[in-house]
Amino acid sequence: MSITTENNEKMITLMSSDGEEFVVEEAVAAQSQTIKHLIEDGCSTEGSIPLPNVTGRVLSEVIQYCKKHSSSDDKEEKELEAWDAEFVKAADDHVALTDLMMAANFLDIKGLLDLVAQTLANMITGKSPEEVRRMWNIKNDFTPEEAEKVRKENQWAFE
Amino acid sequence: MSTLPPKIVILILCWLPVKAILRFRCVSKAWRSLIDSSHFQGLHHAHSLNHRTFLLATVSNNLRCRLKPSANVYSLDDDVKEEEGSTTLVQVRQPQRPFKPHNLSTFTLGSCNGILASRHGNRRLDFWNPLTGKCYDVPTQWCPDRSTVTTLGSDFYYDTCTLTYRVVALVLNYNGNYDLKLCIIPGSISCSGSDGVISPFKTIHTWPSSFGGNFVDPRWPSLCGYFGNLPHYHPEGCFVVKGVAHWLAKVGRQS
Repeated sequence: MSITTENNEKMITLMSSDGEEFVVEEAVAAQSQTIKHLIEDGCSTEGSIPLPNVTGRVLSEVIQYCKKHSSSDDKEEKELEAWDAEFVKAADDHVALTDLMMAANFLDIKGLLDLVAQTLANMITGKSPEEVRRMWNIKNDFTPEEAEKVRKENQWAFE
Repeated sequence: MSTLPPKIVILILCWLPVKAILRFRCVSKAWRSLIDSSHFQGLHHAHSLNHRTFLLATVSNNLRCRLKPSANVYSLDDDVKEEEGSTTLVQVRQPQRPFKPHNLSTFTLGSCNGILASRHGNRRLDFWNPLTGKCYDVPTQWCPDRSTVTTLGSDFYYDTCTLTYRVVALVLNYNGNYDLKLCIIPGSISCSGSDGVISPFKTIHTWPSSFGGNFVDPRWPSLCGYFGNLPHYHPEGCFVVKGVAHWLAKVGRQS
């Protein structure tokens, strides 16, 4: 629904997959290209915008990020970088970060997507293929012979 | 937890150095084919350029010189990141050449985007990525007549207009008169499937083979006439920066 605050800021309501509602300024929500397009198409005039792929827990984190970044015009870039670093640190583990990344992808928020992708990349850069498989529950579908062959092709990468 | 969509995997892998990516080809078949796809390679390449992560550097001890079988070719073991003006240096590695350099006449032509080009005699060009170990060997015709043509210098570069890797050479042709020409060296690289690319990170597009046996690409200007006084003008070396050929020259003493 479209409410207007005292500051004359247009507010919109976002609804997570588990039914949680978040009322945010339109400028904040519009950091998401997906939501921006929905607003432009007039989907926000009645009721709230449903986001079926994003849970309330993740959505609240996303909104935190968007709030910070929509009011950042007058802020120092360095301060924002520090805030970003703290933000991903708070997300704690790769499961939470992966959820956040999926949401950023769905909502099309480039800054957040880059931030989380880089954080996850830093996490796995020194890891073995086995550790990466365990992180994301990926099945090793190589036969032992195939695995040996692929490994041999790039032996130096394991040294 | 739900499986990672390929798009997400690509976005994460784009931030990784080549060494880690090569290791992760072992994660699963899906990851391997994703990493080997030219789509990903293009994205990774573009991403590395945008974020000033340098893919790799290849250093030969004697560029543009005869490459002895024992010559040392070095490659940086990992990507070099430039941070706030300081460069983090990483280990230098002597990669395994996929072939033994020819005893007779192997010359390094130059390196571009981490790919090293060399020529073996007058008939073969080699394009080798020391990081991935992939090597391509293409037929060429370097010098139709060695008694009249001298190569003064050459370079290997990536033509962003045609998305092609090319070798150019500055040649001096003597047929009674001196004729200085800048030529594109013919050769062809076939791109067959994911294995046809020279590296997982740089796609080699089809080498223009339409020049056939012609040594000189008609689209390239012959530079004769620019150097009217050639015996006193000695061009040396040639390199290509941002699509423009440059060469060094010195004016000899008038006798």
